[in-house]
Amino acid sequence: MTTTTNQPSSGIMGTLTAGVNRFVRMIGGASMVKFLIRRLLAAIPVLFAIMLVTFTLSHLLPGGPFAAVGQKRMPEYMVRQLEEKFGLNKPLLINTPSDGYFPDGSDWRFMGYRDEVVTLGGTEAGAVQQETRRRFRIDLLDSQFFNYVWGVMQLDFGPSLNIALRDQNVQVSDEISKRLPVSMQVGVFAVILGFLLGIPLGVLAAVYHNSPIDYLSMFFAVLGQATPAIVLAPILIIIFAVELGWVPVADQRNQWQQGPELSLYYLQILALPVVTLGTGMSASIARLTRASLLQVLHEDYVRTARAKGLRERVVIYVHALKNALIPVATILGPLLAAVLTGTFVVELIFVIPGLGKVFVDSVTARDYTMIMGVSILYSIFLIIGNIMVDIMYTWLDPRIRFD
Amino acid sequence: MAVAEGAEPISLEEQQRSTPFLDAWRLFRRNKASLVALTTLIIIFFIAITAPLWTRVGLLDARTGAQARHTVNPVNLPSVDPYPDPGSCARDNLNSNPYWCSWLSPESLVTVQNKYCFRPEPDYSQKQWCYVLGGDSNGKDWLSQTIYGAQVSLSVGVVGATMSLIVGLIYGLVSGYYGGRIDNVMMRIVDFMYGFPTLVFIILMQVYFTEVARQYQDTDQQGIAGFVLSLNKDMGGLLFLFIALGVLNWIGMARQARGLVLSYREKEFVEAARAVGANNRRIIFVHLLPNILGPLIVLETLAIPGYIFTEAFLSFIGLGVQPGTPSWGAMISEVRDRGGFFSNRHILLVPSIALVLTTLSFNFLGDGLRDALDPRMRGT
Repeated sequence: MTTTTNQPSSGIMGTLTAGVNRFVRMIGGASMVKFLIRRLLAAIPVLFAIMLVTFTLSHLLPGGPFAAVGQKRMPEYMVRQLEEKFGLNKPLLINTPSDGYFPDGSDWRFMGYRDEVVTLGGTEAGAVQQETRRRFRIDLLDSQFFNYVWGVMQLDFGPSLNIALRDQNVQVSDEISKRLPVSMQVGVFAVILGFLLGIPLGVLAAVYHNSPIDYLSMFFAVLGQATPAIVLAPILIIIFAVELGWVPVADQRNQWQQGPELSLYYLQILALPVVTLGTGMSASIARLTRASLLQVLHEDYVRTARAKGLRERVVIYVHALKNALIPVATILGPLLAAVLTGTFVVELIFVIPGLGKVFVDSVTARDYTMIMGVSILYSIFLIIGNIMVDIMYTWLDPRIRFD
Repeated sequence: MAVAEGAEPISLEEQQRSTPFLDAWRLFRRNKASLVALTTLIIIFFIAITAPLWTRVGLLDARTGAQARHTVNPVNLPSVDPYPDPGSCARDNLNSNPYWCSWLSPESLVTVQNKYCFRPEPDYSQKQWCYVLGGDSNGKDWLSQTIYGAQVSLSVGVVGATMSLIVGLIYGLVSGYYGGRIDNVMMRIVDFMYGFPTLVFIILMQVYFTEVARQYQDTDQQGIAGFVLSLNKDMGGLLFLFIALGVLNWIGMARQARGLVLSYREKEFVEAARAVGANNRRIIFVHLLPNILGPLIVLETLAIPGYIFTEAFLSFIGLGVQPGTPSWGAMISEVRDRGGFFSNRHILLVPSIALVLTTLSFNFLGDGLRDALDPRMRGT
């Protein structure tokens, strides 16, 4: 008798089911999938609230994206035209009948079908091709905010309103996808440096507990935590860029945009920002590793391992360290978020064209769509980071379950 | 509990008068690094608080205003020494002639003497100002700026930590103690706000606040708005900074407080108190609060450097205290703005050392307090 209930049947469906099954098992079983789905669903209202708060805050700022061209004030009629073009003449949060703005110029209706004239394109002779379409719309929600939310749901983050970008019709998503990799280069290498430096330091401190090595490495760790980037970065610049001349003060060859490559110049411009960010991280990682390893070294199974005559090195590196690294690995989630916000300072000082710089520029330019786009991105990273921490716990410590 | 090696034997007299505070102090005293840190912090606090007295005596510049700038050179003339070096002294008005004075004949030197040029011997009857730690290109004294900057940083750290502790503690206590539906709702709110990108919101709020403050700088507002605006102006923009920092920073503290309450709520001593008929208020204030306060104070002490960093960073990008108010972050930003990378290192080093010394002290103090107040985390 041959039952094929457990055997995946041949064909595409079978491979698919097997693949899904393997994936589910890989991320930690059905309970984990349920947990993930619940967390992701819970993130939706959070994102909505973040959008609402950011939107309100950014529109509270005095002035607007079209207030000035350089030093001159923009004429009133041009401001009005631009606002109409980018939809900023609509009511801010909700569109009530008393606002004086009606979607089709006639009457305000709660919801219903409306005829809309869509311009498809024109010819050189000047003939404009237009088409009338019927569209369902809710007038109450025909405001700037809900139009933006609707756009975001379709992954359309709108055009940038910054004067330098709006004339070229640059989309926020394009600009972010251009700048995010730049920030990521710094962030990822800094995390790697943080772990490469922090874990050995913490292990050393724990192994030689209460010895000069311990005190020295912990002093370094506290010093690293106490030195903010705005102090460390200028000092590093003065030592390595100005005095020694080993690295350029800032990138002059547009290398950040071109991405990573194995060249001396890339390493040179990478060195200072990564060291600035990585030192602070390695400090907290070292302290965490030390604390966790010290705790584990008092566990029974470590005593057992010692009692059965294993060498001290094997006990520490094979038995103890594996468990001691559990809390350390979970710092990766917050680090991911911290890296992105931490790069603010580093990007400003080292003139790196990353996201932090874009955000600060967009705030001064009142570039509403860009402010929203970057804030949403940061929040998504933060939320994913938080979820990742929980997942890491279950991966690394099978005793923790989400049932 | 393992007693630390080399611990001093506790004398009989000390054993007899044993209160929680004395116990904590005894444990704290063992950590020599935190004792040094505590001393440093007391000195820094003392200097920052007594700064107005020193100003009156004439050892420091006035906080803001015209007196803060010593006209090292005559106004409206090409500057001779834009950055006074540490240790250099200047006549309060004229210390050296601009280069073009040498083109003048001695006679005309006499005639213009009172305006721009003086004879080779400066007038020693004039008051002399010495830049102990140097100065910036406006002639601001860097020592005075650093000490006034300490006022800003310390108040941001202390007020930020206190506000966050109070709000988070009350929130966490209520949520953890009453449990059930109240807990559920309150913790949903906290979870909700946990996803907010804090720095982004702080930056947006600060941009708004600084713009509002600038807009109403000269107008005379009435009512509550006017009061808040004038108070903020008097505090050099600190009030709005406190608000921006405080809005989101209590969340982590609320979570920690709730966790601690949950773990202590089911302990035997609470049950015993309830059994003898203690009411909720008594259980919260007499039994729970003393137990959870220690670890939370430790956490807040270790969080203080974070507030100081945030203020320094905001001032660095020009979104912190009002322009003209001395702050370490604003002082460091002079490096970037005025080419301090390439000359006059004191511009960077003085505020940097002050900043690192302060945050380092708070870190060590937190470690010592953890040894003293939080028995679970001892030695980590």
